[in-house]
Amino acid sequence: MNTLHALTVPKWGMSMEEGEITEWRVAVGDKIAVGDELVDIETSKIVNAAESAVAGTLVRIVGDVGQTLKVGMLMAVVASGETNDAAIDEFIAAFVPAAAGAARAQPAGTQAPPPPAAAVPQVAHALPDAPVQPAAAAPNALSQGPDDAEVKASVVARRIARAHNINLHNVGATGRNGRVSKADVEKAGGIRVVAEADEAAVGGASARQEPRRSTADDAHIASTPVARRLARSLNINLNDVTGTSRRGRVSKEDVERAAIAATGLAYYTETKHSSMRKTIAARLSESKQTIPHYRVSVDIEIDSLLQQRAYMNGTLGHKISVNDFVIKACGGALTQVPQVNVQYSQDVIRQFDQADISVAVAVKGGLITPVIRNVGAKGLPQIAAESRDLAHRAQVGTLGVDEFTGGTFSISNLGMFGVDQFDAIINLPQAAILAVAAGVKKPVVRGDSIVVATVMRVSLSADHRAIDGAVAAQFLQSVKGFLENPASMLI
Amino acid sequence: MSLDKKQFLQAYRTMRTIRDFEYRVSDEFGKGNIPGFLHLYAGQEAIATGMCMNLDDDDYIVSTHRGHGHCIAKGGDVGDMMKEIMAKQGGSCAGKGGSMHIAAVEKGMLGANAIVGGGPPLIVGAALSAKTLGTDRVGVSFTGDGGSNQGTTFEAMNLAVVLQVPAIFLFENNGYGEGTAAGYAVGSKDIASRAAAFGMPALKVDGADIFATYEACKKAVKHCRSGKGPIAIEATITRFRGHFEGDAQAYRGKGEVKRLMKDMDCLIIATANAIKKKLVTKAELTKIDKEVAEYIDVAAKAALAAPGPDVSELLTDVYSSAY
Amino acid sequence: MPIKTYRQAINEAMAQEMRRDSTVIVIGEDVAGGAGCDGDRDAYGGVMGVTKGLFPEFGESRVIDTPITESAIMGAAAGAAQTGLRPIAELMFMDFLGVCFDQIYNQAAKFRYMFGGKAQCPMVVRTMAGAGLRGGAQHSQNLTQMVTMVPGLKVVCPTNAYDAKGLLITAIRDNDCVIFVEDKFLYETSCEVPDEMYTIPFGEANFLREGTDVTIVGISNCVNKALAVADRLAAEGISCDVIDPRTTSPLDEEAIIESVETTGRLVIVDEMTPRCGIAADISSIIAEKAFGALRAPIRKVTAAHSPIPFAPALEDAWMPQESDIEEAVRFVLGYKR
Repeated sequence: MNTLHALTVPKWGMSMEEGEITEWRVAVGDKIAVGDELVDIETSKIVNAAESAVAGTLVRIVGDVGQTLKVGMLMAVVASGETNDAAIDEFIAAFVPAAAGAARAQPAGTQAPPPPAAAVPQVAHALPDAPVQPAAAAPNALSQGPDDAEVKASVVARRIARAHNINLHNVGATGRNGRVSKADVEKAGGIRVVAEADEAAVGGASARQEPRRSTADDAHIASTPVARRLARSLNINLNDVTGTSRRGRVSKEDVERAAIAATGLAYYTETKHSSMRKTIAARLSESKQTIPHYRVSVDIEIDSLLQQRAYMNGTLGHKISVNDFVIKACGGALTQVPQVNVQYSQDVIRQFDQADISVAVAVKGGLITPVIRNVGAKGLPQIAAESRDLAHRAQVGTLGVDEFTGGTFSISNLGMFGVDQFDAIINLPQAAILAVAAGVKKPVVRGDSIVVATVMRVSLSADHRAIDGAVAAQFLQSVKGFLENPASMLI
Repeated sequence: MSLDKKQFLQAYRTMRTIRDFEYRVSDEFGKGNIPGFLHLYAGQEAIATGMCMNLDDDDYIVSTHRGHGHCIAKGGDVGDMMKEIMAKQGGSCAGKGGSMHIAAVEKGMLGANAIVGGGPPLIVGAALSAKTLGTDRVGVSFTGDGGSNQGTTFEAMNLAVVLQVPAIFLFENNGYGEGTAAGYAVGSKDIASRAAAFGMPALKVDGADIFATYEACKKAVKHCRSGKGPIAIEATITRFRGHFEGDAQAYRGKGEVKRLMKDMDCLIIATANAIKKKLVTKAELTKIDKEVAEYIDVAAKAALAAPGPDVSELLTDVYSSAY
Repeated sequence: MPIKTYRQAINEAMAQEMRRDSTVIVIGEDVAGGAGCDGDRDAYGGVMGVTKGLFPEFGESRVIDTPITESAIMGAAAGAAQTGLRPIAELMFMDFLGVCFDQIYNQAAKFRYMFGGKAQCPMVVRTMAGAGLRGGAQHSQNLTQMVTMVPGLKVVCPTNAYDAKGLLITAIRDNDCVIFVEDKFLYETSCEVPDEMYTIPFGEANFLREGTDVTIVGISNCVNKALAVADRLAAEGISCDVIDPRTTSPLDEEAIIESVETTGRLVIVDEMTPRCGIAADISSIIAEKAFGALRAPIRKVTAAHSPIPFAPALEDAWMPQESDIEEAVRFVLGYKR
């Protein structure tokens, strides 16, 4: 069994004949896995990395940085097993490069200048002479003939001839200055090449997101060899792939993304569940499935509250949020309508004598509900301070378990996102949750006139096993009473 | 005597040919046989003749819209010219130039120029060629009093001095630039005196006297051929016909044209001078008159009979090679 | 292969042709510089240094400094061309075309035809065009359209050093009056240019990039801007044929038509004013000859309809920008009836 394997200059693109070694990525003695990129090679058109086809150890480097070698020549030796210097020397001495790819006969004397009329100075942009995917048609009379590189033809005519495997020697030239024209090639080949129809517009501006399939040669697109192989096997043209890898190269992942994009479906990535996500999923599913939820809403005019808040924050130096007022109001309402401050279980209804209010806080990756205990006994400044502190520590993840468990009632406030209204899901084992929306200036009727007031809609989701409709409505009336008469929350 | 008998007879024949040619095309124009515009040289023959007798075939001249006389004097084929003016096949410019672009390129007549002042810069170029290639050719730009005021003429005269090329700026002051008197339009009144300001010498000559014009041109050509740089000549003359054929010449004084046709006719003056000096006999001159008349008639008839150019000629000779 | 700048390539073309053919002369203002002065002769070698070194090699009989008299220069060049020389006349800035236009479009362009094929005018007018150097309204124009439209003239607009040398040699050897428009923005650009002499035929467009989605034609430096845009768009999967006509007269219409037949979409970029520029001209040719192939309106990207401003921000806004080209490409790609 062979333990020594040759790393040779690969052939990228049909016109590549040689490459210059620009950088070795590995050193003698390094362990190598299949697919590892070992050395950067620069051709006249691209810089790319040659990979290892075997696993083993790099035992000898033969090609030096700066050296230009022909396709197929030896650059390094990889050993997949035990070996010694003598064996390596012998291997190198006996090495014979394989015939350099498809032997397309070069016209005699190509070395001499001048370059042909269509020669391009900025070679990086030129395409190699032949398309990557040659025409599927089997060779026929039209494709036979000597090399047609010297036949005068327009650029487009030559392109079409190549794509359809037509040798230009077999085409009568009637084009400008005696060259073969597009029409000549079409006539000879019985073909017609036209632009695609309107629907296949490119660039994301069309309603039907059908991606355009490029047909131009992609040999010059910088990509990893693996990506290139994958693209070829998936029949993806690298011109259709956005490269996000180092130096803008196309990576395997880029090709996979493009492959999915080609189907017209949305691309996705998968993330495993965090424990928070698992908990949220389990709890709220259970809640929704077991509790007979019903909802009651009421609009609350908060202009007085906002004035009160402004006074307390501006003049008295507090930092009280609207939500802090809501918490206090709920605390007061739970005292006035204690039948909401309950829990249902199969045999009994548990009545709490203080309001421990859970406040929903959005954190990275989910949400958490820290609890403010005994709201009824706390004044607004204290509630504000606690809620701020709990929210902060919830964000940074330093809440204690006892700080976010328990709780007899919940509040979820999405007002800062400008929502008009929403219904929250009850947090088991609680029996109710208040969803608070944004306060928005609206026209309201007072007496027989229409005036503008700041209106905030709140919605109570309640467990009908424990809380009846009238009770829920009374509770909301109580909440409304507090919030619309802010002085009542100062005691 | 600046001209010997042989030279005089040649000069007379040339002047007569020009005169008869011009009157013949005037006739044909009146009959509707000539399209476009015609600007006739009748009356100015002694100037073209006097200069071109001092030039060889490979010396260069450029001319103006009033170019028939220069073309004939330089050796242009009368028959070809007639055809060209009548827009016929075989015309000297294949029917593509017409009267205003009459040329005899093979005889060094580089073309009549319809742009006033168009000629002088070109002749500087021709003289530059001569100097650069080391030939002893000279270039002559025939310009009118009107053209003498063009910026291109000034630039050309200056450049000719700067580059010291063998160019002769021959101004034919026939008193009128279109419908405006030279006395009005030429601010310095005297064209020859401008030359000194440019740095070149000038000669002034009576353009109606073939002996005088020949002599002056001989001096000028010698000056250039001996590498002394450019030179200017102002020849005063009149034109018998209007600026263009059809011009009623209302701007000229009553009886002026009639008077000048008697008093300033170079053929009458030449005949009188030559006979007085016993250079030639009247009979010899009459013989030439007859020959020329017939020559012109034959040429005119041939031109009238010739076909026009084929439409397939429209796009030929735009470029020198396949476009 | 050696790398040379656009300037060097043009200089080399002239020097090599002048060595090969003793009838080739150079004439213009300060093509050497220092005439009649006490300091150096060949002090300039052309205002942009393009003719530097020619005077020392070929002398004052073949490298001729003139007074500032464009009509006389162009007229003399035309007259000299008719009579055995092959002048390369320099019109320092294309903006000065007005001062000598008669000599070019009425004289040099028409001799051959007017004189029935018996005269010829083998001269080259080398001139400098293009904005972007803050030269102001009278030193920045590209007036290629004004000479392209004249029958009898040929007009060349090289966009890189390699093409510049080959096209100028062809121009000098051509027996017609050729206007050689050098984009002043390109003098410092460089690429591989062979040492030996070579010619590039007129009327053959060069494809700087190939693709199948959009055809972009660019005149003078605009094609380089188009190429930069096309390179960026390639990353999004948009592939373009970027066509450099190289000569606007004769124009390789066929190459553009063929490309439009395969892409259906055309954007043309030039640095001329919107009315009657080369982009307008090519638009009309394609609309006439390839209408059925078009999937979207032809988009022109040109300069603005105003004299060229001096202030840098204004001048930049006047010129066609890469962002304008990109917008036009996206427009034609996204177009729906």
